Amino acid sequence: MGSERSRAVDFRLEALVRAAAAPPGWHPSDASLAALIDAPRRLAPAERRRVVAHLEVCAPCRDAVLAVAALD
Amino acid sequence: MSMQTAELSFEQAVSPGGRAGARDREDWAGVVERMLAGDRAAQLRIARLVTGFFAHWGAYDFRAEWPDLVQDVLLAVVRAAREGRVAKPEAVVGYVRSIAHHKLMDRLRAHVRHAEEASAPVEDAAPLPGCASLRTAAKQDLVTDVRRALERLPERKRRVLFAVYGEGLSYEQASEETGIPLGSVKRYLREGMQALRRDFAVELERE
Repeated sequence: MGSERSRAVDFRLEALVRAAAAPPGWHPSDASLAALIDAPRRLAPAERRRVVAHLEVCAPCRDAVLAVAALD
Repeated sequence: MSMQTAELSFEQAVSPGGRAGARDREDWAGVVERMLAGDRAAQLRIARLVTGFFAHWGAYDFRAEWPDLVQDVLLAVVRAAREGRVAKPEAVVGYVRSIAHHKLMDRLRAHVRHAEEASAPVEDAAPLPGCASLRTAAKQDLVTDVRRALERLPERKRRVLFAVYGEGLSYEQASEETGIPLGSVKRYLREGMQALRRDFAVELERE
């Protein structure tokens, strides 16, 4: 239980650090977001984590993804 | 095979209120055509144009409804394009903007009507729409604090963390890029993350 909690904290920290360290004004490309919806494995693991971390803090990108993913 | 991803500026990615140049150079007729063919990236291009409008208009009281609104706009654009009502490439952005604005106003009117009709006791009331934007703002503040903490790290550690977490480089690539030996890269990452975990322990537990 303790280690699960610890992993969750590590995951949140990594997402925060990725969002904080990204170049200011950076947004993933449309192609990256499309890949995240349709074929996440097409993205390299580091890129996937970077995009997911961005979605944590960017409402315009996150909601665009949610809207488009729900079109199917 | 991993996909290469172009980095976009805010103007290119989402902002309708930014410099017009990048937006004007976009082949919007092509984007709409690809969207009609079911191209996901084209759908996202239009979707981010719409969320960019919402952000530009400060529509954060409706943040929780953005995905639904964006979907409504996308479907309206598809219908209009199929009916040949979005024929001119230069009219696409204006058309999307206008549809987005109408959908937002419709939602606002529905909220006002609902608020007028509602007589539910306070404890049963739905959370205020603004709560979502407050949470987003708090998260953004936390990201800013973490960035400041990153910038305060010793130079070599900072360079390694920015290379791996900011630019998405592998440990080996970060080592090459910074000229710092691989073993040190791994150590700096471990120590840097430990320091951040200590500094933000309360916030990380609270999330």
